[in-house]
Amino acid sequence: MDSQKIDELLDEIDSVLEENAEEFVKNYVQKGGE
Amino acid sequence: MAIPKVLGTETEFGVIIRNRAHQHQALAAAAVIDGYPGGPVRVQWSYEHESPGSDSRGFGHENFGMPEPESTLINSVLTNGARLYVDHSHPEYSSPECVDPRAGALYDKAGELVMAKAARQVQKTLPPNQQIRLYKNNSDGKSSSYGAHENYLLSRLTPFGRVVRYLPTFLVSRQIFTGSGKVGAENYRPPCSYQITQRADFFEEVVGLETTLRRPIVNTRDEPHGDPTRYRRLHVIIGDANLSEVQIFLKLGVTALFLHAFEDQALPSALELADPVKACWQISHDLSLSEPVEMEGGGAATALQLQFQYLEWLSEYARHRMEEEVWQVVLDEWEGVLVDLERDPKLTADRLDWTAKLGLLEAYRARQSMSWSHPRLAALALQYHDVEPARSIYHRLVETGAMRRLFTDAEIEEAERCPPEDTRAWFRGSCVSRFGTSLVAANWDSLLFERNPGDLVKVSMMEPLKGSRINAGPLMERVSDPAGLIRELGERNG
Repeated sequence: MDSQKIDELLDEIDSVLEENAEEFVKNYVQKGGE
Repeated sequence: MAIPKVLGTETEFGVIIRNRAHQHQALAAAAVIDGYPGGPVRVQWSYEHESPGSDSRGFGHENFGMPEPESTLINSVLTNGARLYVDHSHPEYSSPECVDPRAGALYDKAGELVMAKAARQVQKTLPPNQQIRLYKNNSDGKSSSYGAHENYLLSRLTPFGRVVRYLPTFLVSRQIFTGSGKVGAENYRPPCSYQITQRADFFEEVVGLETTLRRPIVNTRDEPHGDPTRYRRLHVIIGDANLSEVQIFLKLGVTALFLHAFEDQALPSALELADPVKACWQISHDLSLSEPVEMEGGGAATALQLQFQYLEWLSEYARHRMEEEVWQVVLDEWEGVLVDLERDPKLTADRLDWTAKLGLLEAYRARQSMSWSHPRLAALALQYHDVEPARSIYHRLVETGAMRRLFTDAEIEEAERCPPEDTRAWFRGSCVSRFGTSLVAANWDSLLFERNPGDLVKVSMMEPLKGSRINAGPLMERVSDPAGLIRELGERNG
């Protein structure tokens, strides 16, 4: 992928990433499975 | 002679409801299963013939304790022959049995669609400030792991001792193309920025029955879901849940091919590792793919060297023994991925989740000068696995054409509704579609019909390859109701 495409992709990722990343990641707690 | 490698996957999805004060994961998972809108009826899963405590080493049963009430809340069988249920507080999709590894990958992808549709239904029932999220991954980043298992049919004649000798090295070295990538280390493993797999940190034994703690590289669960005098079901628990279609195909295809050759005793050597558990962690943590692992009896080899050796042996085997075209496709993809991994792992970012995600994380990190511990990187890594295409970072790559595909959206949608044609899953799924209101319960190897009120009739399906479209299609065309079906099956059986 050329750098312009990567920049566009990163911009798009920024626009869809969940708000308040720190709280989002911290609160993602699962029970062990299987 | 090796038997056909009937195969399938079982995936537990991560689930959370954002902004809910009191998370109850099991209830969220149950809401997902209940929310799935597919099919005219929902048929209950039957637990008959399920014995997860049965051990392939012949030890009998370990005590698994009382079933958790919350793990048996909701459990159903879908029109595509799959099972959808709550397992250990996770929504789980078990794909229908397939023979072709390409079909295996397709039905694994159909599971993502099932979960996405279910989540959209659940979202409609939530207050506006709460959002449900489902992830096809295997870890919460806080040392809790949930599974993505593969199943392969083996002959009962295959001694399990040979499985234990031959399998660990193959399973541990294949991580270089089965990993989905993970930020950081868990479960007290040495710290790292990023590693190849989600699961390696959680493996602590070479062989064992457990799946929830002290996880073994070779799982001994002996629950064939078929005629126990003829079959074993190899339950592979060491893989990652993958998003990449090519990668799922590779994982299933290469493993099935390995098992074919293994069962035919066509592998010249077991290639045993000195310490498979240590090698499992080492390989997952070595992004350069250059660190050798110690072999039993001296010497060392990299995971790539081991996989190239298997490739050479299995290419030779397949040339003489595997006629179907799909196995050549498996070999070509496998060789391509190994050659590219050897030249530069970045070259595989169009087909492997771990290198695709790593490339994105590195680009994102460089642009914003972030450390590896930055929460936005962890958020990106988690959101790569979101089952909702609108939010999924994996889907952003697909849309830009950066990720190769094997299937169209239409093929995945069809696989969500219709069963594969080459196994008993065709009969199961067809019965759910056509006679679902008379189907009281179903499981992998039987169907329970209510012919008349209170009059239950069980139809056994102990042969995984019987009940295919070719095999059962004419019968299904002739009959118009369950009573007719049962009558004809009764006449056939005697």
